[in-house]
Amino acid sequence: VTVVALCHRLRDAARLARAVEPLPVRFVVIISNNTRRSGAVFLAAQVLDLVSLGRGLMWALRTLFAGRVRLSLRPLHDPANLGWIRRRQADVGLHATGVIYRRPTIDSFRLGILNAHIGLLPAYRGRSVMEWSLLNGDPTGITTFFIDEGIDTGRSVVLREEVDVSGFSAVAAAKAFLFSQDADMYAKALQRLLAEDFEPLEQNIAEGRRWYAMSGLLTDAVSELLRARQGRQEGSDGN
Amino acid sequence: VESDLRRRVLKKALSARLAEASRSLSPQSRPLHAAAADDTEEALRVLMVRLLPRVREGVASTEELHSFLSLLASLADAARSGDLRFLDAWNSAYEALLDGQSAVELAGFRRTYVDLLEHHLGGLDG
Repeated sequence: VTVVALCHRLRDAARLARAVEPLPVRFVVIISNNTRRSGAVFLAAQVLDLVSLGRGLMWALRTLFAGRVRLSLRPLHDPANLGWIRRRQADVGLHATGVIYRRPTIDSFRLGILNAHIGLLPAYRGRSVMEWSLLNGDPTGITTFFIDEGIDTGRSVVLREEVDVSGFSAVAAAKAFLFSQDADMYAKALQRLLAEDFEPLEQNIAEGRRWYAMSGLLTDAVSELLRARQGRQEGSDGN
Repeated sequence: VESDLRRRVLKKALSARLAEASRSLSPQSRPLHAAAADDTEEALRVLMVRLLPRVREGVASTEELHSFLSLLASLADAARSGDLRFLDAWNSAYEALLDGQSAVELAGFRRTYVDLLEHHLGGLDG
């Protein structure tokens, strides 16, 4: 199985590599410039990542020189990038770019592109889903699924896992924690895909809603909710 | 306990916003009026994805601001429901209009928003 990490930054590629490379897969990376920033700014960001990688530096140098990393100044959907992916007969893509993919990009993979969405599908599609889950009193978690062209509407779900964020007292920190779990979720999802008895879960989008970026007012309320929960938990731990 | 906590936190947030939004409200101001949207989901999507970011960035044209306020008004009924996404569109709109350099007449918006907050706070008291 050939897995392609679709990244915007070298540091994301290194993070995904640490989780995925121990698996029996062929792991390659494409780092593309998906913003309107100049090529110079894009390259400077990669150099910055390279010098700050620490333990990941050797990995980065090894993979760069082994030709397993493509660094492109063009966006991912550029024909040259898609051609590079197709020539590798890619099976699965791992989303780490922050862009919405067009059909030709999705179709460049035999199975598709996995996304680790920080909400539990099908109930929570869209934005601020962790915050909305907390405000509604629902569990928080991560759903790893094959994307389509819609917003979190891909039907084939590989992994759906509740992740507790009650140890955090601020929305930003809780959210950053969930985002940081993507590499582990991808590794788990790939393990499932590699299993002979793997059956995807079907997402019925009619069972959920699309959520939108939460207002500052309610985001502050969710932070207060987290703090109150943490205070209560610490109180009960102390008793 | 958990649901009491959520109710308390929500009530506190909405009360604070109500006090703030009521402060400069003219007693003569009338609420925005528009027919309820036929497709509330689509109206919400257009409002939140297309128009709100432009209003927030202060780059919306006069027509876009007009559409923004019309769509909001068409979602006023939905914003009285238990689906908090619709009330939160009004919360976000308030924040965007407050921060932006918009010169539109906001008295009607403010009047309707205050009514909506009072409606929800009444529900949380009950």
